[in-house]
Amino acid sequence: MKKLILLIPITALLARPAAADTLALSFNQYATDNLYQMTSAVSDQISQLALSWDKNLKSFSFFADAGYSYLRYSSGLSDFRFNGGADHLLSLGQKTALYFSLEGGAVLYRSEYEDFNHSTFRAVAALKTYLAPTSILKVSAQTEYRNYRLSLFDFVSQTVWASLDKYFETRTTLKADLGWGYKYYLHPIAVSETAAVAAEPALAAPVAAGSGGYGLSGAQGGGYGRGWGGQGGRGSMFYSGTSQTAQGLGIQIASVSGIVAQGIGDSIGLRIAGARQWRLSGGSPFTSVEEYYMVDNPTYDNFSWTGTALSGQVTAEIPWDIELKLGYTWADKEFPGIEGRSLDGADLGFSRQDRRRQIDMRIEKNFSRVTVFLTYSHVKNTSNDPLFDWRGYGLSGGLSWNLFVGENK
Amino acid sequence: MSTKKTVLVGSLLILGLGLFISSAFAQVDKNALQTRTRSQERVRTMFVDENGDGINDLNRDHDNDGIPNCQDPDWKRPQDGTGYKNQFGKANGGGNGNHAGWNNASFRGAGGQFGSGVCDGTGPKGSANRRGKR
Repeated sequence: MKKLILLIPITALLARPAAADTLALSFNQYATDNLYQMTSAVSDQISQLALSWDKNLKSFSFFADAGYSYLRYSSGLSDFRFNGGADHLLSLGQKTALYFSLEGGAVLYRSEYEDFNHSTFRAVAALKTYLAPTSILKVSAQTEYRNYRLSLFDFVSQTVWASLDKYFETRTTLKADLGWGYKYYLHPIAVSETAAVAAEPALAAPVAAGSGGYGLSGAQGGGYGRGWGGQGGRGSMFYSGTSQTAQGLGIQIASVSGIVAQGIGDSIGLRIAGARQWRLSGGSPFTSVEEYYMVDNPTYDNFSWTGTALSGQVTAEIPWDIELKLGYTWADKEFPGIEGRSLDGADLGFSRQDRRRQIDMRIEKNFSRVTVFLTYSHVKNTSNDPLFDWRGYGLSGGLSWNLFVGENK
Repeated sequence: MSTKKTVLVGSLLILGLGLFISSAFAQVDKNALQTRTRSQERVRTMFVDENGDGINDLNRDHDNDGIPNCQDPDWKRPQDGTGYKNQFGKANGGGNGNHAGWNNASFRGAGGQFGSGVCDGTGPKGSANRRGKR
C-alpha cells in the first residue's frame, strides 16, 4: 500500500505538460470470491494504480507505463510492473500505414512469487490498409522473448495473424481472423520417472503457501523436486538440478475466429463471435498445474489449449453517454499434455478438459478526460480435473484520468 | 426636406438595410446548416465498427457535445485500455477513406491477440484487467 501512495507524488512530478503528449492515471479496485480459481475458493481484494505516458516526435512515439497491484489478504502476490518502448508509424499514402514497435518491460512479484519475476522484450510490425472505405485489412507479427527468474519458463514466441473487416450500410459488421503462433521454451528440463518419485516428499512438505505448481514431462536427466502446497492439497514443480539440458521445446498453433455484429439504430449493437484453435505440432513441457492466478500461466496461455469458444454480446449507448455491455461466453478447451488429476494428486489418465460459462456486465461513463467503469463477471468452470471445478465472481470498478493531453494529440 | 420626410426616408433605409443584412445572415446560416447537415449525413451513412460491437464508431460522442469523437477536437481516446484501440483518432477524416492522420497509439496492443473475436480471458494479460478476465 505504501508503494501505491508513493506513486501519487511521482505522478504529480511527471504531470508536466511539456514532458508528455499524454499522461494518464488509472485506479482500479477489484474484488473476487475465488482468487485462485479453484474448487476451494479464497476471496481477496486487489487495488491497482497505474500511470501511462507517451510523447510524439513526428512519426516516432515513445511510451511507458508503470503500475502497482496490491492484494489485501494475499499481499505476497502483489506486484510492480513497468513497460516502455518506442514505435514508428510509416504512412504509405492515404489508405495504408506500416507500424513498428520495440518495447521492453519487467514484472516484479513479492517474495512468494519471485520465481515468476520476469523481463520481456517485444517487437511488433503491423500493416493496416483500407481496401475500401468500409473494408480494412490488418496484418500483424509479433516476436517476444521472456526471461524468468526461474529459467524453466523462459521462452521466445512468434505470432502472425491477419484480419479482414467489412462494414455494410445495413450496420452489419463482418470480421474474420487467421492466426498462427509458435512458442519455444528455451530451457525445459526433462525429469525421469525415478526423479519424480524421489521428489514426492516435496509434495508432502510444501515450502510455502501458494496456489499450485507445475510438473514437467520427459524421461531423462536426474533431478530433484520442489513443491508448493496448494489450495487443493497438491502441487509440485520438478526440475533438474544436475543435468539441465538445453533442449528446447516448441509448440505450434493456429486459430480461426470471426465476428458478426449488427447495429440496431444508433445506440444498440449485437455481436456474435466464435473462435477455434488447433495445435499443429509440439507440446507443453508441463504435465500438471495448479493455476497461478497472478502470473502469465504457461499452462493456460494462448499456446496451451485447443478447442472452441463462442460468445454473444449486447452493447447499448444510453442517455448521458453511458455505455452498457452484457456478454455471455462459452468455451470448451482441452489442454493437451496436461494430466487430469484427482484432488489427492493421482493421475486420472486423461488430459484436462474445461468447459466454461461466463457472464460479463460492464457499465462505463466517459467524460472528456475521465472514464469511470464498473464490471461484474460470473464464471462457472466445469473440468474433468476436480481441482478446476469451480465457480466465482469478480467485481471491479475504476477510473482512468487523462491528466494531460498535449497539442500534438 | 421636412423632418417628417427625413424620418420616413431614414426609417426606410434602416429597414431596407436590416432586411438585407438579415437576409444575408440567413443565407450564411442556411449554408452553414447545409454544410453541417451534409457532414452529419456523411457520418450517418458511413458505418465503421472496428471494435465489432455493432455500434458505429463514427457516431460515438463521449463528451456529449453533439460532435462525433472522430471529428471532435475536445475528445481524447481513453487510456484505460478498455476500448477504441483500433480507432485512428480524430484526425482520420471521419471515415472518408482519407486516413492521413494515422495514430501510433491505435496500433499499440495489436501484437498479441489470438482468437480476438472471443473475450475468453486467455489473451494478453494487461496490467489493467488481467486479474478480472480469466
